Amino acid sequence: MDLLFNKFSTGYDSNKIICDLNLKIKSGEWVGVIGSNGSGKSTLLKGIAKIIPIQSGDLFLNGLSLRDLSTKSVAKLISYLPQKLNSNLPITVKELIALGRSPHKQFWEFDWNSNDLTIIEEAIDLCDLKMYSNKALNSLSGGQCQRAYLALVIAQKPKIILLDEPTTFLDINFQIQMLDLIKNLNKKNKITIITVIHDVNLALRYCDRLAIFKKGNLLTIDKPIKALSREFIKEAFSVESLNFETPVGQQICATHACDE
Amino acid sequence: MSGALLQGMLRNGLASPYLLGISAGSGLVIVSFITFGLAQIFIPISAWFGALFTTLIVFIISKNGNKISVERLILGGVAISSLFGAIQATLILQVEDGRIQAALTWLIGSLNARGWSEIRITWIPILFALLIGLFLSKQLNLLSLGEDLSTSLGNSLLRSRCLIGAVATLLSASAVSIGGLIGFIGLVVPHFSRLLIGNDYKYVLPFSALIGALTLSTADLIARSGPIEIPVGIVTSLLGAPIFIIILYKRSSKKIGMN
Repeated sequence: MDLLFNKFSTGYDSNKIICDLNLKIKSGEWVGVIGSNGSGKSTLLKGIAKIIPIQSGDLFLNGLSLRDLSTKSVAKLISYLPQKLNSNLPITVKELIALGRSPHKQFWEFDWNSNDLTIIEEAIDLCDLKMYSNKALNSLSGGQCQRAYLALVIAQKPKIILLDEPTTFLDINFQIQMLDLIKNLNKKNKITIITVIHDVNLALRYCDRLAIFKKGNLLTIDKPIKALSREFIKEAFSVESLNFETPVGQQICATHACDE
Repeated sequence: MSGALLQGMLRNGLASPYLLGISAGSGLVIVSFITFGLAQIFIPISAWFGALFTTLIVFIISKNGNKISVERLILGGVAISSLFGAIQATLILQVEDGRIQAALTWLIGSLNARGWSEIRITWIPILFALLIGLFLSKQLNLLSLGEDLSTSLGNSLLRSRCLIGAVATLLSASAVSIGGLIGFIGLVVPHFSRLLIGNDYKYVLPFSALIGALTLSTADLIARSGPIEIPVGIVTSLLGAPIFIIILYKRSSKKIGMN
């Protein structure tokens, strides 16, 4: 599903954070959102998922205006995984994933039909959670818990998935696993992915394009290696950096902070 | 069930129907009726309106733009409760001696001399709210995931909070209008239900309603079995408080936590 931002602005209450964003994201693309703390990355995701209201401009999803869609219709198209997940829930992994079917249910429908159950099972398989499906969420490790939440989002069957720092609290093994899983969804199921990501080197390896934000404005959006040029990194993060070639492609190392 | 609804909505295991000002509202109305010697026969119906009205005030206070924040709901409920509590205490001090007991019996809660005639009117809002309440289980399950995630799963926060609040208030206001302010049932029963059948609100809600009724009947039986009938509210509080302490203690072992 294509996203077309037309002078899109959003923020909290009267405080405008993302200002007049013009951008097009093509169907099946994986866009990474990068920027310093407080640059509006998370706000952008919440704005796209309509968790916070559009303040001006508009966002079109395959030509449909986000303004015209109800919370429920948005939930059928876009799923959103916040940065902080509630890992202390006493429900089982399967019960959690089943909640992903909620937007597809009517007010009076209590039970999951066979179609829902198949989708739930698929999500469990895809995230390799079979052995945990009957365990309580609060008995899992951070990495497993994160995967369970990803399965919830997959069961939602969205066209677009928004992930807010999906790897920040994971060890390096789970980080790679998580991103491979997302890559798989992106390529096989043609789901558009937008992730906020702090690790520039992982962003270089996985994303199709990178958008760099500074104080709520889009600095640049380009192929990862072009977007993360020394000049842009300096402008967005005020650090000097070095590029070097590695077996997994170009990687970046921040050397020292600049004085401003 | 009202307690279970509110605990789920506020994501706080210490919530009870009385948190949102239901007790304060109906208590104030009851006490003022007794103090000023108004017609006793209207006490139930006006207690009912008092409870609804107070909760409405609390909801209006906590509404900010098109959002209702949980913190504001709780704090608003506490503020209104203490304000009304103060007025209520002043009124009780003015009461003629003979009437203090009547006022206290209402405030503690008693089923003495309550029969089918009381149910004849109140069953309508109770049944209505019970039915609607059962359909809110999905919203409650989603709310446990946190505000943002539940919104992105298609659950409008404002709508679900208003609905849940309305149903919970209707239920407990109806109960209060019959029995007075019977304590601890709304607080302890949902915990007990969760302990027995897990955390899916699809089961917790009807189960809480059943267990609540069962607990009250048992407490009433105990209250009546002594040489003199003590108000049932005393029994529920006497038994409920220690049980609640045990539950709180167990909660730290993570087994039945809310979040």
